[in-house]
Amino acid sequence: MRILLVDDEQELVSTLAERLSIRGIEADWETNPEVALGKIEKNQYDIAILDMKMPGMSGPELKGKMEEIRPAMKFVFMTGHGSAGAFEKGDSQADDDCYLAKPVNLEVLMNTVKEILKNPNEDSACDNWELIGEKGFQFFGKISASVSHEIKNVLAIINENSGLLQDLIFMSERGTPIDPMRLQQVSELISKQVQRADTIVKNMNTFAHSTDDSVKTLNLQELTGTVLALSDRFADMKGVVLERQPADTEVIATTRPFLLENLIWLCLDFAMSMTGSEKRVIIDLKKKGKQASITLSGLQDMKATREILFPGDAEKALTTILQAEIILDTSDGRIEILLPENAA
Amino acid sequence: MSDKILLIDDEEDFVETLAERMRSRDMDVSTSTTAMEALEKIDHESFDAIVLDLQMPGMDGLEALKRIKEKNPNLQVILLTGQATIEKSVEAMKLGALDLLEKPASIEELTEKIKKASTEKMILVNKENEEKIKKIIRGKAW
Repeated sequence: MRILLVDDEQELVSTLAERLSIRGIEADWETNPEVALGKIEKNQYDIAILDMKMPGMSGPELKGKMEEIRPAMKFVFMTGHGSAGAFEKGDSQADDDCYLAKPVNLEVLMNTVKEILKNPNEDSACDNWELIGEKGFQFFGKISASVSHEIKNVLAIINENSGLLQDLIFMSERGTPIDPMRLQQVSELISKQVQRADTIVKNMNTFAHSTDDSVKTLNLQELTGTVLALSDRFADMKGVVLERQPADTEVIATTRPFLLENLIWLCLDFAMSMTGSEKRVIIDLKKKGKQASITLSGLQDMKATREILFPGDAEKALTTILQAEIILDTSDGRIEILLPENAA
Repeated sequence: MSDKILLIDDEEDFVETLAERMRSRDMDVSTSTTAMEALEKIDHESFDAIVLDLQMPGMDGLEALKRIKEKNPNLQVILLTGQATIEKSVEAMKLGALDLLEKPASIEELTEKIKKASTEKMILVNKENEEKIKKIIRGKAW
């Protein structure tokens, strides 16, 4: 990275250039705008940092001339007047310029320079994280809402049975004897619901803890099992059965647990919309060389669907970060998630 | 005459226990664990009130409510829900639900709503009869 600083105040501009050089940035400086123009004709600079007000030529004017010589160059303006006027004037020249107030804070300048020269690929990585963050919250919210809903159903059943016990007591007080068998049934029903709630809460707890470590070595059977258990209610609502193939070997991977759960969930969600009349998704987890493979099959509607809008942006962002791959097999009605054993 | 109630909820243990408690309160209760089964029952029987779960597999409560109202707009539906969001409640009321109760609900509250429902239905049925009578009176050349 090479930078040219232009300011009529020699002491300021030379010190700034020196300080940038100490931080590993190749920085030249010049006090005369005309001489600066000659310099950029001879040398290739990535960024020019220009003072807004200089004798003979203003910063924006100098920028215009420099751009004619080097169209790809980026510009940062320094201004002694933190006034809106100077900023607005700069603004009308170009929107993507940066303005720094004097005295310039070196850290701010370094960050500005880095930001300007950021690799566009890094930009898309930022976008990926933004999307993943949003989708992650939605996923967590959906699962939490579903789990709380199911727990409410359990509570409603326990509540009715408690009410029934009260009814039985009330009737016995008025001379109707309590049938022990009836009490036994109520007791069994309550324990059944307690068991049910316990399983739901255990799954939710495992799920919540999957956010503890961003990267972890884990058993994929267990992780897939948690996602499937949490998805069961959604499948139920859609009248779809999630059928898990028994695994023959243990599949261990070092990956991002929460993001992988999110990816499997998104794939399942898509799969559940593609089951056709069979209303069944078959989930199979296998080791494939140095990769783990999760296949979702039985997606009959994939054959008939002309334009499959899957994987979408969220799935693509997740596969990029997980270093995974989604393979669609439309003729076979199958999607496969391929995951490296070690994505640390 | 006891009120005739239809309970619709996919949680069988819930619907059966609630039905038993309502029967011991002198209500005539039928149950369904799917919306489809309930819709069929409505075709053959009349009910004073319907208690309907909002979230069910296959057809959800709002869709079921819509179809019930299409079959017979006089039917009074009380919705039961695990989580009452404002949006859902407003939507349910727009579709003609009489009331919305959050689970777990107390039987006293539910009974009260059922009584209100059956009165409401009676008023509606009376009005309908009145209309019919008026029509007949107007239509005939006496």
